[in-house]
Amino acid sequence: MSYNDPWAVLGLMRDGATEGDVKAAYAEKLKVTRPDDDPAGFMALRAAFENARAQLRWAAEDAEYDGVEDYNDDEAVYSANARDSDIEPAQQTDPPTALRLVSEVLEGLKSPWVGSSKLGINALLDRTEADSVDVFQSFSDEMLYTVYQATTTDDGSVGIPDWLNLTVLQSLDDHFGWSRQSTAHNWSMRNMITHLEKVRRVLRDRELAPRHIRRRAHKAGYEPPPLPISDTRRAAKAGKSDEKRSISCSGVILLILGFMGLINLLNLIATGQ
Amino acid sequence: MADDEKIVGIDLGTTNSLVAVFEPGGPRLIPNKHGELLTPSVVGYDDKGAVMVGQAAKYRLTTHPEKTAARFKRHMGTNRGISLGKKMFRAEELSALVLRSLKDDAEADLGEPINHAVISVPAYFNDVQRKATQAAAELAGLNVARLINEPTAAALAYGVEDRTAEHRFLVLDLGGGTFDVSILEMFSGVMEVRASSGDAFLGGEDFTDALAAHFAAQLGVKAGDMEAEDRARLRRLADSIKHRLSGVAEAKAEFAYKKKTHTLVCSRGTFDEITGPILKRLRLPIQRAVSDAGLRSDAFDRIIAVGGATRMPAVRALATRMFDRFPEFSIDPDHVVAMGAAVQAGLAQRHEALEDVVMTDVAPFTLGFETGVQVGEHQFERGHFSPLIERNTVIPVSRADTVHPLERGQTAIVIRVYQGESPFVRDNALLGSLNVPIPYNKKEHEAVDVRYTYDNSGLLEVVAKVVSNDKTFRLVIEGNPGAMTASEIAERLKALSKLKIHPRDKQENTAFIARLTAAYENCLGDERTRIQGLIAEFQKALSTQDERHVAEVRAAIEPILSRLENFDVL
Repeated sequence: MSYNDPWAVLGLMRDGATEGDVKAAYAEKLKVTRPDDDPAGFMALRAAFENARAQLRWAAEDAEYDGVEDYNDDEAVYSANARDSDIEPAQQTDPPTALRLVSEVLEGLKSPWVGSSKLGINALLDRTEADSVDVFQSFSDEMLYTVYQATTTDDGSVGIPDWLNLTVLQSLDDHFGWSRQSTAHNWSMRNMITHLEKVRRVLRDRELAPRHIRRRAHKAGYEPPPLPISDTRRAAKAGKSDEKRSISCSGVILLILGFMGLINLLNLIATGQ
Repeated sequence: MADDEKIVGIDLGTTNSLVAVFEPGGPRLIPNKHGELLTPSVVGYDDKGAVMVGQAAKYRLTTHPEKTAARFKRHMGTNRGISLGKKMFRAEELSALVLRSLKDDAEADLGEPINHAVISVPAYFNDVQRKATQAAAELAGLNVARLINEPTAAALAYGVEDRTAEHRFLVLDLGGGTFDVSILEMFSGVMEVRASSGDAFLGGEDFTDALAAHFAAQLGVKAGDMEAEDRARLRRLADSIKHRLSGVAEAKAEFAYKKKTHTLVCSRGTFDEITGPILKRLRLPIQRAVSDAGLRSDAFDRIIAVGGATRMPAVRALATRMFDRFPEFSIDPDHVVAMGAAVQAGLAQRHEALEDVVMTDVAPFTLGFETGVQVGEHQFERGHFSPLIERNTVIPVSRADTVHPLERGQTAIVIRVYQGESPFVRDNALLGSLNVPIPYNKKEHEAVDVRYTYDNSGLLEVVAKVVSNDKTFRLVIEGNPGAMTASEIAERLKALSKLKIHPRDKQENTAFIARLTAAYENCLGDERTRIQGLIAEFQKALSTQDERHVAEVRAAIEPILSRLENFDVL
């Protein structure tokens, strides 16, 4: 499809046009270009409408950032969900509440009674303060960001904090629905969710490894203490098929990493010459 | 289609179905043969092997569970067979029988043949389920003017009341079997869907199942171990208690089981506790829609509750807590979708009362195809999902992309079409695959243009064109387990036309006998004898074959039966 000037399609002047003008022009043209009667005409009109709105939005953002000196990295996470932010960006809502909830969850996870039972974790997460959609959203974003930060080491590899195990990660994911979220529009979200998948693999490898290996590793000071026997057995039973897949997956990943390294190296040599 | 032919709007529900028509004064619901607006989506055989639909069949659900089927909308677009007597049916065929019954009611009411309909589907129905709905309509002799998403229909019904206002709606649609959330915006007569999300397997029926399982546990059995008839009776009782608990804090009922009468009690607190896990599943689809639309809760002007299951206090309380205000339900939640479908039918007919209204909807899922990622010189990792149309894109929409074979000299490309949100195809749903032969070319990579088109009913078409020789190929959804092919539809149509249909004018009496029988089976002792007397009396009236007399007797017995049926022992 060739690019049409959206302002010409809408019959507007680019200069001085507002969001309201664009909507009104679109509504007026839409009455004679109905999607049922003229799909092709409608698609062109719709594209013009979306392009015009996007242009207005960019202009507004440029104007805003001209005045901002210090760009805060954390902010990017809060507004990560504001994809179509033409109406009102989903800004951080009540972050103090969300932050408090997150620190309470972390505190609770450190207690030995909660950390390994799904019921206990769910009780920690089911909070009436987080009933409202906005607080729940901030709570979810904060929690995801916290898990992401806590599992990322300085050199970019996966690190596991004491309070995190497979049950905790799974309960968090079930409660907030992170991995079922659409991430197509949002690279930072996608990045964090892909990272979670890596964390899950590391945890699975650790928790399902034979007991003597884990104990040896623990003595050497690398690993968290072994799980109680009953838990290990249950986990091993439930995760048998997963284990196989994760092994073959990690094989594939090693392969990819290897090849990527090779290509990089070749590139370096080529550019060096 | 001739210009003056009427189009009706149909809400084909999991539990109940309705038909409505758009008239100058607005949408109007059409009553069925019994004078009721809701026709239960239940199909069954009578004792002579003729097919019954609606209330008559619903009463027989407890007395003849093996000859009656309900809740088949949940199996739309699957190959699961539903047995009715000795025959197996597909969900499409049973739905077709319901649609045909609604069509007959509309024809009787409007006095003209009806061949076109707008049919509502859950917004979260996928392509296979939508095509199945279309096939069902075809089997019923109806041409689908358009499929409309249920929450969109609901918003249309609310929106046409005040079409100049600028509104942002959030519609929560909890029906019998499905849950939908849609966010809509209305400006200058344009009704625009911004985001939708949902759960295709979550509805009021799940709450009933949970309560029935709880009662079975009270009786000391597992619901699965009960006789089919007892189970059906217990389920019906649970359903009635669920409905009553929306109004009162505690409900009791008597249940005859294994020659003993048990009193089953449930308070609203217990009910909320039992159904807590189901209720919890409502939250994430709502969060997802709100976050997709990039809105905060105070950005919504109206929160609208749709679908019979939103009558449950716990559901309303959840919505209230989430949005800090009470949801609206000024139009009956059971009727609103059918009324909206009628508005859409009016739009399709270019009704002059709707000249200034236009509606646009979105695709509920991301669509794309499988691609391989190169990981070495001749090595590829398969299974990656390349999105082509993102979810919540306004439809109709058409997007194209160019794909290349992995290797030079390859002679075919397989395009596997998937739907879903995961970056890996293994977690997404396969819709079909398209085999594109390409010319042998050892020198360079051939190219194929793939175009996806989503029409305004949410139905998908995929066309692939080989760039070098201009040959085009269309996606035929075959080998897909859930979809029916054209020849299959033709065959089923023939089979369906052979079915004997229970005479319409006698359905009312059959329904009444079924109701009497159901009541008889549910009572013990004196009450049983009384009902037996009523049955004898009604049979006698029937034998006179005097329609007016039968109607009089029926009217006389009705209040007595209602009293006996009201299992309350308070």
